Amino acid sequence: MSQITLLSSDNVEMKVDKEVAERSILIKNMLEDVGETPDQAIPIPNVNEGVLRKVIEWCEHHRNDPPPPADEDSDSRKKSTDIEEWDQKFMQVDQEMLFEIILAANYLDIKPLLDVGCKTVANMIKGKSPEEIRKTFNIQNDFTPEEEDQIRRENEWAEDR
Amino acid sequence: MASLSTIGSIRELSFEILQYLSPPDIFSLLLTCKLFYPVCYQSLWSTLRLYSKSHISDKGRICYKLARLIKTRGVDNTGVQHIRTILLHRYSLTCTNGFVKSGFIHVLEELLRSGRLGLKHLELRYNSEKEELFSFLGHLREYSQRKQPDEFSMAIIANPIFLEPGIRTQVLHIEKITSLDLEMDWQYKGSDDDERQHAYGAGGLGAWEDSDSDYTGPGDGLDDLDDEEGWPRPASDQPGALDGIRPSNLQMDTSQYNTRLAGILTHLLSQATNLRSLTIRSIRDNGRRYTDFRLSPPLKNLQTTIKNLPKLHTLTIQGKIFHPSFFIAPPDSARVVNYDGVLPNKWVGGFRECSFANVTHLKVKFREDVQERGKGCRDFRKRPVTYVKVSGLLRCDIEGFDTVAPDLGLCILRANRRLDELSKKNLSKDIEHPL
Repeated sequence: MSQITLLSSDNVEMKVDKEVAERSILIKNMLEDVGETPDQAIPIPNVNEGVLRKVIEWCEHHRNDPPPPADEDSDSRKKSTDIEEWDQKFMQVDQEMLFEIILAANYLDIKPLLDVGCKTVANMIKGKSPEEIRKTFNIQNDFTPEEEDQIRRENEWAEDR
Repeated sequence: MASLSTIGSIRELSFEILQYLSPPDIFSLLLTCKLFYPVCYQSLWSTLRLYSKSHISDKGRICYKLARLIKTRGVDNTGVQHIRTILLHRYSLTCTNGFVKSGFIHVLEELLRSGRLGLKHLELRYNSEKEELFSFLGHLREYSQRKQPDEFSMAIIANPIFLEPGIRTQVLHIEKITSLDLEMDWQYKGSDDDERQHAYGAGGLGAWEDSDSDYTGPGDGLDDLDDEEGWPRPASDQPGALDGIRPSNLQMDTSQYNTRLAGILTHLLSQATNLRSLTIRSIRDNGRRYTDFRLSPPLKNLQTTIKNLPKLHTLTIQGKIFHPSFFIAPPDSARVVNYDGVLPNKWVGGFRECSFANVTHLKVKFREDVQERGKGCRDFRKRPVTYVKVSGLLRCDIEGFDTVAPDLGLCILRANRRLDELSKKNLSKDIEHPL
C-alpha cells in the first residue's frame, strides 16, 4: 500500500497510508492534481503535530467507512447529536484539543470528523443556562445588564423548550 | 489557544454547531456574549419552530409571542428577513390552535403575499382534518408556484387520511413536497364528515372510486397479494366485506378502509414528482393482525407508483403495511432503503427478486410478533432464500432474519462484494462459515 508523508506546522513529518490521508478531501484533491504519489512531504501549515496525529488516528479508524449516500437530504432538520461509542471516546480530550480538531477537520475538509466535533460541542451546550455555558467555555459576559434584558425580551419567544 | 470563541468568530463553523441545537439552547448561547449574538439571532429566525417540545398543549405560546413581537416592533425590526424554514407541528395546531388563533397565520400570509418572506422550506406535521390551514396553504401555493425545488420545498408528516381534503381541494401543492412521512394509523378511520364526503363521491378523486370498484371480491386475478393461505380473517371483517353493506364510519370495514388508504397514497405519490424521501410508518398496530382483504389492484397500483417515483433518494417502510406479501421495491433513483417490520416468507420472496438497482445503503429489521404466530399462520417458517438479486450494496445491516430466512445474511454477503468491513462483520457473525 502506498504511503505519503505529511508535514505538520511545527515541521514534524508523519508517514501515513495514502488511503487514510485521502479521508481529507483537501489532501485527496491535492494528490489528484499532482497525479502521482509525491516524493516530498505535503505541508499541512495550519495543523500542529499533536492535532495532526489525532486527526490521523481518526482517519485510520474510519478508513473503511463507506462514503455517505450521495446527495443526502440537506434540508433534513432531524439533526441527531448521537455519536458512536468509539468517536465519543476519541473526543474525550481537553477543550483546546477539541476545538483544534474541529478547526483541522474544517481546514482539511473531513466532514464526518467535523460533524463529530460539532456534535460534541453541541452536547456540551445542551440544556445549560447562559451562565453555565459561560462557565463551561470560559466566556466573558460583555453585555450590560440593560442590553441583556432587552435581548432577553426580544427573543423570549425562543425560550420555551 | 483554540476555544469556543475561536469557533464563534468563524461564521460557517458556528452554524455547523448551531444546526444541532434546539431554539432554547441557541437562545441560551445568544445571551452569553456579543460574539455569539448575531449568528445565534440569525439561526433562531432562520428556522422558526412554532411549537414547544415540552408542552403538548402549550396553547401556541410561541405563535402568540411572535405575533405580538412583529406587531409591536414592525417587520423590519425583527428577524423576519432571516426566515428560511418554518416548522409547524401538531402542537402548534392543537385544539387551542395557537397558529391560527394568535393571528400569526395571517402575519405569515401577509408576508408571503407582499414578497417579504424568503421562505424556502416548510415542515408541516398535522393530525387534523380541519380546514383551518387551507388559506395558509393556498397562499403558500401561490408563493411557490414558480419556484424550483431548490427554492422552495415542503416536508409533510401526517396520517394520509388527514391529507385527503387538502389533496381534494388542491390547496396542497404536492409537487413541492420533497419529504413525506406517512403515519398509517390503523385504529383511526376518519371522521363522520369525512365518511359522508367519501360515500357520496364528493371528492373528485376518481382513483378512489376506481379503487373501491376494484374491490370485487374473489376472482379478480388472484395472486400473492390476495392469497389468503395462512392468514385468518379477523372476525370484525367478515360481515361488511362479504355482504357489501357499508357499516357506520367507526366500524368501517377494514378492507374498504385499506382500499381507500391505498388509493389516497397512490393519488398523492403519483403527483409527488420531486419527492426525495418517503417514509410509510404503521402506528398503533400493536396486536393488529395482518388482514386478508382483497386488495390486489390498488396495492399493485401503489407498488408501481412508488417504483416510478423519479427522484426518490430514501425509502423507509416501518411496521405492518397492508398485507404480508406486500413488498415495496424502491425506484431506480433510490440510494438508501430501510425496512422494519413483521416480515414473513412471502415478503422475503419479493425482497429476494428485487435488484435494488442503485441502492448502496440497506437496512432490514425483522421483528417478532406473537400475534402472527398463532395457529393457521404458516408464513413465518424457516425457509432458505438461496440467493438474492441485490449486488451493489456498500453498507448493509440486517437483523433478526434467522427465524424466517436463515441464509439471508450469507446470500447478501456473497452477492455484494463491495460491502464495507463493518457490514461484512455483522452479516458474518451468525454464519458458521463466513466468507
